[in-house]
Amino acid sequence: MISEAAAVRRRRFGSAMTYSFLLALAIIYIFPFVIAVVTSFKTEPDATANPLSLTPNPATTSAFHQLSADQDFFTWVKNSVIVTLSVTFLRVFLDSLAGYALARLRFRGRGAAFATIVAVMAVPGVVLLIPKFLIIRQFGMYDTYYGMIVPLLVDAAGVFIMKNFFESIPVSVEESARIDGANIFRIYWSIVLPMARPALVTLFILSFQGSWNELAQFIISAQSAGLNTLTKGVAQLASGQLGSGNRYPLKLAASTLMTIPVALLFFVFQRRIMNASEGAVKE
Amino acid sequence: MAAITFDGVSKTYGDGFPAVSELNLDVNDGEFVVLVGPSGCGKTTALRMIAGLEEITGGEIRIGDRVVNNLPPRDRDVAMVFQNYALYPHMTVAENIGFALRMRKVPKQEARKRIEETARVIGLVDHLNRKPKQLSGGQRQRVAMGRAIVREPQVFLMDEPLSNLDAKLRVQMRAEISRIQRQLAVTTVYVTHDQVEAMTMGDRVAVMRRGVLQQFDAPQKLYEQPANLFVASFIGSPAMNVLEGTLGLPLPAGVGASGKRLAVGIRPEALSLATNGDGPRVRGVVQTVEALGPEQLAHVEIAAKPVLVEDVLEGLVDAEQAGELAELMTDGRATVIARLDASTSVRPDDAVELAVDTRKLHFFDLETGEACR
Repeated sequence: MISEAAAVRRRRFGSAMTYSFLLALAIIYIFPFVIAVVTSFKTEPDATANPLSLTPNPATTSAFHQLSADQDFFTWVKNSVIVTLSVTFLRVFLDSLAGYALARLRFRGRGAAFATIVAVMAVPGVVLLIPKFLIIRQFGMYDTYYGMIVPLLVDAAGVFIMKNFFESIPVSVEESARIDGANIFRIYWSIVLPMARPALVTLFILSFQGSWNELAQFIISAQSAGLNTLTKGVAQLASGQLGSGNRYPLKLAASTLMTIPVALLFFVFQRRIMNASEGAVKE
Repeated sequence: MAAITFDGVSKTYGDGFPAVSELNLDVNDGEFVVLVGPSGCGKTTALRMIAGLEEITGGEIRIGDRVVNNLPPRDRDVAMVFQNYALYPHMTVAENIGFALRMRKVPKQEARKRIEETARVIGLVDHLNRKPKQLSGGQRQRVAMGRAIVREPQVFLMDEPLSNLDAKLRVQMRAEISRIQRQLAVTTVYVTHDQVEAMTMGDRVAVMRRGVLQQFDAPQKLYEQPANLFVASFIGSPAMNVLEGTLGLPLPAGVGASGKRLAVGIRPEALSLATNGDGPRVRGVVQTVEALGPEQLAHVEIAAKPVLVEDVLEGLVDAEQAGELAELMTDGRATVIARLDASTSVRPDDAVELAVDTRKLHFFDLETGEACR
């Protein structure tokens, strides 16, 4: 009995240690974000004097008022929304089309096409910036929404994710649809795509997050202030081009507002990730 | 409704593996034909070739008067029930059943009427708004049937539709499918590896092995007049006892005259415990007795040599297990199974004499495996 009680104590102590470690790790990760949020509610002198303090003294929303009065900020938001929504919806559609073709259609060069796509994943994005810039200019898309959107429309990782998911869908379900009279596009659209909801949700979140936070692509594809996105605008704020002083509350208020859509999207869609093919076939 | 004709149909895969070789088969209009055989015998490939899911590398398939070799599945007017049901998980039962009608642009009013009629036939009227995951295995299977029925196709194709159900439900669904097929009188090709399903459901049964049709006959005829050693071993449970030589049993006229090496096949029910008046008999010692209620199966070791050729072994178990079975049987002793009445008193280690009903003997040429008649 005594040894059993000791074992229970040991187990409790072990899990207390584990959770303490995890908590410490969580605090380290979340701390910079907390600092950003808190600082956005500080006055500029307070932020400069006590940059790591977790209590604004005094608390103020003046940074947010300043942002809302700034026309540029709304232009950035508008541009980010246009680019992100276009990229996200089109990328999910095109990646899934390509993934389906690679997973199910038999055509010459299929293996080579897939190998190339996988190879592209290994190339660092920064290496492609200058070639992308040259192509965008050549196609007359420089300093337009097209130049900002088109190069982001398909990504190798998305095609890879979709291909793998489509391969996990039982072939018999598609064969059944073929016999029922559906053509290839109809099978893709009405049968396979709804079954791929978990992968689509994942891809949607990744694409939204990726294009909302994209910076390098927007730097090489546009120069007009009217085409600045949130990332580009906030980066310029941070590098001090728009004014004097450190302006920490203003910069961090902009950063805080910028993170809200991605965070919201993640929380909304997280619940909807589930197994969509349940009940299709007897496992 | 339409007849189906296989005319010298072959299917060879890219690696040279012949899945089906020179298949000739005529399925009559409205007939229920079962393709049966061990795994890898080509039965599912043959079915998929009718559906258009598998390309044909030789020969011709006709549905009615049309050669369908190059027609896509949707233009063949066939409906198929898959082994794993293959339902659309994001659609309700009604949408699953109605999908094919939607594809064929059947007016909504008419589609709804046909879906409801079909739901009545398969007994799922109250489940039309449920998703597949909310249904039991048997109900999902019925939805798969409903999806085929609603189309009113010329041909039903069924690929082991009952193999995922548990034993009792399978018996019930077997009767259900037979009833629906009779009611609708649609030409049906049904694939199974279960010989009980084959024997109980089919108007005629095609036994296949290694891509080659072995025999195509009515179930009773397959049982009573198997064309070769494989069919003799495959059809019947417990399997036919096959022994080398003739055991001194009287040969029918014409058999054995040519000096062929023969094997004799004796169904378990052709053996009984000998009484004084009985004719030909074999002596042996009882090894085990399996009591099955109305009858019992006595395993009796006799002085004879078992036949361990592939034809027999593959009729008993799948090809990959045939070697294992042969090893178990190479102790040089032959054990026959006798189906005895429950009232017969036999115990292990009893020395017994088994009377042989000579009207039910089968003889086979050991060289070719073919039946001698």
